Amino acid sequence: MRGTCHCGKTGWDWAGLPETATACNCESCRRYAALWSYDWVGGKISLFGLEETRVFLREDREIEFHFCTTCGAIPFWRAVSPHPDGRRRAAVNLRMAEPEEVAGVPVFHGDMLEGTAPYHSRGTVADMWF
Amino acid sequence: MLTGHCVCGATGWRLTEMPEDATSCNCTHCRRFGVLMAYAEEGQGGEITGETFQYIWGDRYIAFHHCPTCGNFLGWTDQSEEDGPHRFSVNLRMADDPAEVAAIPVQPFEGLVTFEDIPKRGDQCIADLWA
Repeated sequence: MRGTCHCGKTGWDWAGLPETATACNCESCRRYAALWSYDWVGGKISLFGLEETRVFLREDREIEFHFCTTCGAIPFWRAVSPHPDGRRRAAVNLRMAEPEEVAGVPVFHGDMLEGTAPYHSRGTVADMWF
Repeated sequence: MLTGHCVCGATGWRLTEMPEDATSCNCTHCRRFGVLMAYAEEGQGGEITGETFQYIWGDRYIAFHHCPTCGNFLGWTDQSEEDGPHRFSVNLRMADDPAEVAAIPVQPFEGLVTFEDIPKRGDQCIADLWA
């Protein structure tokens, strides 16, 4: 499955169909309105058009949010540093995919803001979409 | 008065009045940003603030404004050269206080094919589409 920014210069490929997506309420994610599916670069995730993006570093400086310098869309984030085993954590934003391909993916609410609410179901991507 | 800012704080918007509803649109642009849009008259009704970068495409009637540092999508402005008040929009996802906009009803808009409002879904409000 492929997701691209609006102008098509950057995006991602995911091997197969993501099993879940997370809607996070932190100060960054709630503004990006992202629906994240997590894996590894070179695992299920391949990224393209990295030369077309600019990076915004999250406060903890562990995560690079990549946005397209032309259209502003946020197709993915990537860990600043690789894992000890050499792999690099990443997440793709399912909002970049064709809607019908991801409509049925279950969404979970991630409370990164307060850290209190349990990780609970928010239905599917279609429920959060439009 | 309602205010919003991008996550890095360099850009933002203000609305003079509380919006009556928030438009959720399925067009190829809005769906990528999960846009929850409010509309007003630019100037009297509010403005987009800070130095933004603009994305202009399609019929080129509107410019989409983003923060150059964090990328957040703030809203659009009308590019027409005609005199008179111009409409603009703000993306309520940037609201400084999410609680302030949580109860605003959502108005779905079919922006892909028919370009018309479609009926509201019961009492669906912003909190239902928020993370």
